[in-house]
Amino acid sequence: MHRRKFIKQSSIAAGLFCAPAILRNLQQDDTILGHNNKRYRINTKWSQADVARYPVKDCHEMVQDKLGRIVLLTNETKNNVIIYDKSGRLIKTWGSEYPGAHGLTLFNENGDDVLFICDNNRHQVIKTTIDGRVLLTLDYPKETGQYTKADEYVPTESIIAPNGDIYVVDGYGKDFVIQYDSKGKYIRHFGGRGEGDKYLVNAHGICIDNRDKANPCLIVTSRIQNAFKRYKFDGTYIDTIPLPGAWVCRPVIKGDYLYAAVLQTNSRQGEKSGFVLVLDKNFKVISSIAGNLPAYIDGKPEEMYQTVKVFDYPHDVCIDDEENMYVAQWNSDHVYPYKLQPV
Amino acid sequence: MKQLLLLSFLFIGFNSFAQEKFQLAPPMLKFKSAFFAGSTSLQVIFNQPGTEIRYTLNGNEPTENDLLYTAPVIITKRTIVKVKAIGKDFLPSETVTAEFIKEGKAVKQIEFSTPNEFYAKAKKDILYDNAGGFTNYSGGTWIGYDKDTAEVIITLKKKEKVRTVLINMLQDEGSWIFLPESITMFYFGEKTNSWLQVGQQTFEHDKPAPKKCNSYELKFRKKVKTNKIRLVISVLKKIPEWHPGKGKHAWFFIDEIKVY
Repeated sequence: MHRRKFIKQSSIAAGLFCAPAILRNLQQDDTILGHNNKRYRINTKWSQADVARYPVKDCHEMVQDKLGRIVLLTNETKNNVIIYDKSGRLIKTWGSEYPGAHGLTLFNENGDDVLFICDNNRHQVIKTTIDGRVLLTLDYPKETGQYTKADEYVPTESIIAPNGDIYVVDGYGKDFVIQYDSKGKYIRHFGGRGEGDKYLVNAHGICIDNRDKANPCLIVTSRIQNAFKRYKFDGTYIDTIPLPGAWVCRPVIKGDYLYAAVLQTNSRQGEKSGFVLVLDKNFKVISSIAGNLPAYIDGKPEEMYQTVKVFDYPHDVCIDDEENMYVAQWNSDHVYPYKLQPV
Repeated sequence: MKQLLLLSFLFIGFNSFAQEKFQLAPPMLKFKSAFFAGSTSLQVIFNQPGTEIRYTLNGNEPTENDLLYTAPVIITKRTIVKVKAIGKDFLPSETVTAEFIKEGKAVKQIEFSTPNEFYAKAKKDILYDNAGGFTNYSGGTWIGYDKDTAEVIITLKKKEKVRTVLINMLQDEGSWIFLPESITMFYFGEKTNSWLQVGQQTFEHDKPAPKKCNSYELKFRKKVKTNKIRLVISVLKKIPEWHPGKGKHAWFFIDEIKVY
């Protein structure tokens, strides 16, 4: 064989060898999910964590810290907290004492990032430094007069108001929202179960909506009712945002938009029917990642459902400083979070 | 040879790339009831750009060459509808099936033995109201039994030649709801003034079954002229070994009966 010909042939071979990899990337690029100005390419292999060393069970929630790192909370007690950089490289892990790790909230307290962990099994909310040193533990709120023992209280999420007040939702317990001051002293409670709009069923998440600077408020999930409910900071009920069919988890606000993982739908319960919603400032669904974009009839969205089996049971979303989305999933074969990049 | 090798590499490459595609979710089917008199309609709800809905009315698996869904499907006779979402950038959805069952002989009433207390308030015509066919056992169209025997007496408006009784039963083994052990069929013989056995059907429980409505046709040994039919349903007394509830008493659920 002439040398020249050989080189030519091997370069063809090399080209073909590369083809699958290129095609795969193209394929990922081709799968664009979502609607309007919130469309994404998905990377299901974002996490570079070694599964043998850093396993996960349920990936419950994620936040981004002031250093730009992505902080994941899992109920795997080998490493309850996994800290990644945005490219998916594992930076560090900590935590082995949170068997029911569920809610993860980050608050910048006088320049320092602190975390609030809601633990379903311990029936407690634990405030820690970003590195896991415990700063405060909130036990079950007997001051409310609503609980006789810790087991009745199963906190799922917390949020910290600008004044430092702590709001905790008891989403797997009695569905109350409990308000404390920054030191953990009980102030009041509201929500809970009952007949009427101001009550909650499966108060799974909570956030503060300060997009309207003049009228900031709390948004609380009422998951089994397929809705978010808005309250003033003193617990006065404002209104309900119906999201028919969608088991919405916690509301996450970034910029002008509200993002929420949908665990599953009414039409396909227990069948891995989750997706992710994006709502605009007026609480209108403008994008559904792996779901349908509902039409609005008399101001109410149509029933929502999954259209593409991208996710099993999405449990939380985190939007980073570059508008990338991370999706953590519950009960989904121990899968690490996915990353979605805006198109 | 070298070319063959390259081709096979390429083939492997394409194959692994094909696996990166996501599967479409099963379309949502909306209909009032699986049972109807006259005609009924089926709406398919699925909105994903780049996809279409294909369906069949003959029981076959839908392919891209089958009927394209554009508007609600009108059903006028007993039909099995199979629906699939298809799109070139995705793997096809799993097939969703709905069966529609048309009214049979005119029924005067269908009486039933007392179900479990949770279903004791069921309306009198629950077994012939043309409502049901959904797998949600608490949806209000089902009655449930957790005792050894359930009994049903069907009275037709007039004497007719009867060969078949269709009974819609729920299989939801995750909720301990099983097909019965057996169903024995009787008709009322006026000459003897007594119930005469005209058939028996037994059911197997040796392996798990998916959750579904099971519209079962009970065939009589012979065609009989009658206006009264009785079904004695022997509820499964012991949940089989392979089930977490093994050895316990099973449930039996029924929502509709038709006579042909």
